[in-house]
Amino acid sequence: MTRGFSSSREATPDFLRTFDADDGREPCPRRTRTVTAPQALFLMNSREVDRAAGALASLLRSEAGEDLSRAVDLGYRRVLARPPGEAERARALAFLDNDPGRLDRWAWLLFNLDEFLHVP
Amino acid sequence: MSPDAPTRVPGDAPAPDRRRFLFRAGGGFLGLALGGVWAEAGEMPDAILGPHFRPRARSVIFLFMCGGVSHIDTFDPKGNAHAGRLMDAIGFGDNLAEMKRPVIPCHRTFTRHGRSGTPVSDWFPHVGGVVDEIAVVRSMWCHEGNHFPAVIETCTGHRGRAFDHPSFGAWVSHALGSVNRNLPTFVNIGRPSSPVQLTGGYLGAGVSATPFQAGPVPVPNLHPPEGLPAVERDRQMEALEVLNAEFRARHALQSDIQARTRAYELAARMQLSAPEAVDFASEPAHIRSLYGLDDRHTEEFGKQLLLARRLAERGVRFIQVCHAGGGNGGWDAHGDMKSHEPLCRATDKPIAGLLRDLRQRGMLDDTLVVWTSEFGRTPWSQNTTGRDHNPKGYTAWLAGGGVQGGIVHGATDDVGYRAVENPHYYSDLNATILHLLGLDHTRMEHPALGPVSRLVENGAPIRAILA
Repeated sequence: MTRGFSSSREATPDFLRTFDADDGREPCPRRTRTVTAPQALFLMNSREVDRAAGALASLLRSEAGEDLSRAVDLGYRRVLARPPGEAERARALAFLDNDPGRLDRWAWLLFNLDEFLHVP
Repeated sequence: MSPDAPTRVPGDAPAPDRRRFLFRAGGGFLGLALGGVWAEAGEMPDAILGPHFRPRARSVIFLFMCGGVSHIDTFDPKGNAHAGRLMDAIGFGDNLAEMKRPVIPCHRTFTRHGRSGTPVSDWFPHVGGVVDEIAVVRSMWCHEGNHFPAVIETCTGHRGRAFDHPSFGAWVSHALGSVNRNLPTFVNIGRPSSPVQLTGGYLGAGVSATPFQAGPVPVPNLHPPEGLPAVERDRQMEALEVLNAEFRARHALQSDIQARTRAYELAARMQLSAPEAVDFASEPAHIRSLYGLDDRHTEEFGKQLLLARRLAERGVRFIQVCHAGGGNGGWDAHGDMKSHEPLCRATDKPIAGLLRDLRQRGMLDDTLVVWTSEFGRTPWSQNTTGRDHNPKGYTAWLAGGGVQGGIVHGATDDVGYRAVENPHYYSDLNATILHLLGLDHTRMEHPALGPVSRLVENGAPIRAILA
């Protein structure tokens, strides 16, 4: 979130607060950064991530149809901006178990990867 | 497992700017030391610095009243002999221009309580009832005269945010580590004035505060979405572990990544432990009533303090409870001192209840309770019936955990404006808390950053109040 996006913490959504949205009241040369269990819980259990995973899975199903290998490729490119490695592809296909219905649960995995949240 | 060959190396970014390079170099130094131990033990080490000597307190319950409590109307009676006297009010709060302000009368009545006879105002009758447990320090001061700078100064020991200094609780968490691996080491309850009160700063994100809420849901998103079978979540977590492994190995020295690994582990354990910690079902009616849970005025803060006690019981080291936070803070009574009244009513009984409950459980001996705010309030008003910010003299109090009860230490001048007798810069309070936790305040510094990172730059424990 851009500093100063919201001048009031009243108006800052809970999930942004969980991820250290600044209150924009003090000069802030470096953003406060926390890594907490509630952030992990947000990514694991929140309705927002659940919904996003569902939406990504529908998108992948509509773009790749029954071709799960293609769905995996698209998923990595969309979420991590890179193609999957061979081992990652194999692991994803094993997780999907030939069932496009499992893409929702696999999409959750992408959003919970360290690589998704953390830009080194 | 064989790591995948990355087609794009994350982190292969353009050269970092100088400031970032210096920060990374600092982080990397500590990270290297930690990384080695981490690799050996298979987990992050807990205690980094201490304790340096035998601690008197195991846990700290730190009550922070956001906005600045008027010491003059609560714990530092001044009488009204000087009401109407014009005082020089330059440089206070928002007064940048030269101006004189009149001292306003205090409408409180003070009663001497307990064996000690410590005077407490009629806004805190219940706290008055336990005043024999309390050491009142009437001579605190800090530099900053506005809320956010003062919050930063008091909670990090440094002025300004330029160097990403960690908050006090993060230092304690860093120095001493956890007692209960199923709960965080540094917990924040209630809404703080500033996110700085939660930050781990350069100590790393892993020691930052974990926010808890009193209520049926202590932490949001504690449970998986409905309809997801547990066996399916297990399968996801296993896959996640494997898929993360390569990225984690590559960035093993970054505190964020280490912290994230721990955050997921702690999150998993908290799904089991947190609901129990906040479940008040086992608390009998007389305990609930002690904290004021049966009264709508005191219910909210009472629940927060009962939760604080339950967390202290379970080994959480530093429990910060922020009252009336958000914005400038609810205690910021510029307009009318009467705005303190509901806040005092909301906190008085729960605070007294907490001290009584800790005492009857035998926990007060090794649980330190601290009550403070970023600054106090001036004897004069800004043409209102309220008071302005006053960092030059104000009150904090401590109880339990190796503190002598029933004493008053230090004094402000005859109007309550400036700390004159045994004045204590806020760092002295921080040094006192560290001392009671068995930590030498002069050794609280980041190994790579050196003295510039010292939590207590100048100052020493307030020895006069130690038991």
